[in-house]
Amino acid sequence: MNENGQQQPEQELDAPSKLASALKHVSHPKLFVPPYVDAAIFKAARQHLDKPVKPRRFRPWMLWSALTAACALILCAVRLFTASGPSHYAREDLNHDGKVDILDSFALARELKSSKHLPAIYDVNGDGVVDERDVLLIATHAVQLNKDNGS
Amino acid sequence: MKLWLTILICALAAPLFAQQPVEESRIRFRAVDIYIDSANTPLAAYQLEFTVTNGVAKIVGIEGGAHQAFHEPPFYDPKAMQQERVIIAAFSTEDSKNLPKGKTRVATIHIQTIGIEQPAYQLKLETAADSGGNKIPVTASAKEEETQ
Amino acid sequence: MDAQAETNSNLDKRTDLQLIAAINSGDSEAFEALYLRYRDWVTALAFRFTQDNDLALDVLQETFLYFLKKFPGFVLTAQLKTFLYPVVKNLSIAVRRKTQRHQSTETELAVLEHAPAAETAPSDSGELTVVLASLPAEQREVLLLRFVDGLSLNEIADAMEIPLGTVKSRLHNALASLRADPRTKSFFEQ
Repeated sequence: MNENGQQQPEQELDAPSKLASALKHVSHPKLFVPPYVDAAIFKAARQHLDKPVKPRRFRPWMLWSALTAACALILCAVRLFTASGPSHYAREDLNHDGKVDILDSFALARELKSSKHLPAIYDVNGDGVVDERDVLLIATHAVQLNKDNGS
Repeated sequence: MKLWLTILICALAAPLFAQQPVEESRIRFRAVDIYIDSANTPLAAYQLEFTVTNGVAKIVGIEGGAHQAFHEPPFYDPKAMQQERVIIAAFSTEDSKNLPKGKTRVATIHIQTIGIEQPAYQLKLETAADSGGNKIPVTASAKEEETQ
Repeated sequence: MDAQAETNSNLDKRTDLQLIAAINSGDSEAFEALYLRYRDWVTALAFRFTQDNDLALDVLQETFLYFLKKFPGFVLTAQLKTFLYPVVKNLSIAVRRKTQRHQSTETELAVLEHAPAAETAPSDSGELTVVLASLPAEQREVLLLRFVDGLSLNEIADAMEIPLGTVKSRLHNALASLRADPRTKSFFEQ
C-alpha cells in the first residue's frame, strides 16, 4: 500500500540491470581506508572484548605441554607467513612493503601490460574489472596529502 | 609665512605616508625544476615530497619533465594547489632502453611568491624504482628560475 | 557484493550470526572479520551522506566503536546493514553539522590531470547523476538502498523506520521519474 492507500505492483518496483549497474557506478565510490583506521578499530576491539587470563598454579606436566604447543605454533606461523593468503596489508599495498606508494600502482600497471586477466584481489575499486582505473586509484591514494605515512 | 611653513612640513612628512615600494608587494611566479639522478640505472618510477619551508610561496601548478617517459604531469593531490606541500609521483612502463638515465628533469613545480623574501624548499625522496619495480638509490634535487 | 568485500568476507567464512555469537563470547578476531566485511559498505554510505572523504572515515570509526559497545549482549534480529544504516546516517548528520560551523571559504586551483578512478564513470552515468540529484532525498535514499546496497523492501523499511508501503511508494515514484526523464529513460529500454 502506498501513502495514498493504493497497492504497488511488485514488478513496477524492479529496475533493469543496466540501471542497477549504473547506480552502483555513480553512487558507490571505492574509498581508500587507511590502515591506521583499521588498526584503531582492531585495538579498540581487543581492549573491549579480550578477557584477562587468570594466573594458574604451575604443574610440571604443563611445561611439556607448553613446549609442544610452542613448537606447533612456530610451525604454523612459518607455514602461514610463507604461504600466500590473507594478510593485514592494505589492499592497495600490492608489493606488501607496508606502504601504499607509486610502486604499488606501477606494479599493477606492469601486470596489466603483461596480462589481460588478473585476479580479483587487484580490483581495488571494486567495479568487477582489473584495469587502468585501479592503477589510477592506487596512484591517487599514493600522493594524497592527508594520509598516514606509515601505510 | 604660515603657508610656506605648512608646505614645508607637508613636504618633509610626505615620505612617511608614501606607498610601500612596489617590490615588497609584487607577486612573482617561479618554476622549480625537479631532477632525479639515477646514475647508470634507467629510472622507471619515483615519488617525492616537495615543501616550501618558509611560508612565502604557494604551489600553483605542476607539469611533466623533459624525457618522454615522464613528459606527462605526475600524479599529485589537487588539494596541494595553493598550499606549501605536495607529493608528486610518476612511472613509465616503457622498456629500459626508453627510460632516462643520469640526471633527468622529471617535473616542474610552479610556485607563486609575494614579496621579496626568497622561498626555501625541502625535497624528500620517498621512493624510486627501475623497470622491474626494484627500488634503486637516486638523488633528487631542485633548481629554480624566476618566470615573471 | 563487490570483489573486495568478497575477498574480505572470504577471510572468515562464518555467517554474521556466527560472528556475533563469537564476539559475544569475547572473540575480538570475530569482530575484526565483521568489521572487514562491512567496512567498505559503511564508508561508501557515510560518503553518500557527508560527501567528504575525511568525514566518511570519521563516521566509519564512530560507527564501529558504537557497534563495539553493544557487546557483549548484542542480538542481531535482521540484516546487519539494517542495524548499521541509521547509525551511519545519524553520525553523518552529526559530523556534517559540526563541520559546517567551521567551514572555510578558501578557493582551490584544482588541476585534475589525473582524476581519481572512483569518479570515472561511463558517459551516460553523468546524466544519471544529475537526474538522481534532482530526485527528492527520501526517494533517492530508497532507490540506492534497494539497488546499490541490496536491501530488501522490508529491510529498507526497518532501516529507515518507515512503513513498508511508504518504501514501495517512494521507490515507485523514483523509478517513474527516471523512466520519464529523457536523460535516463534509455536505461529502461530493451
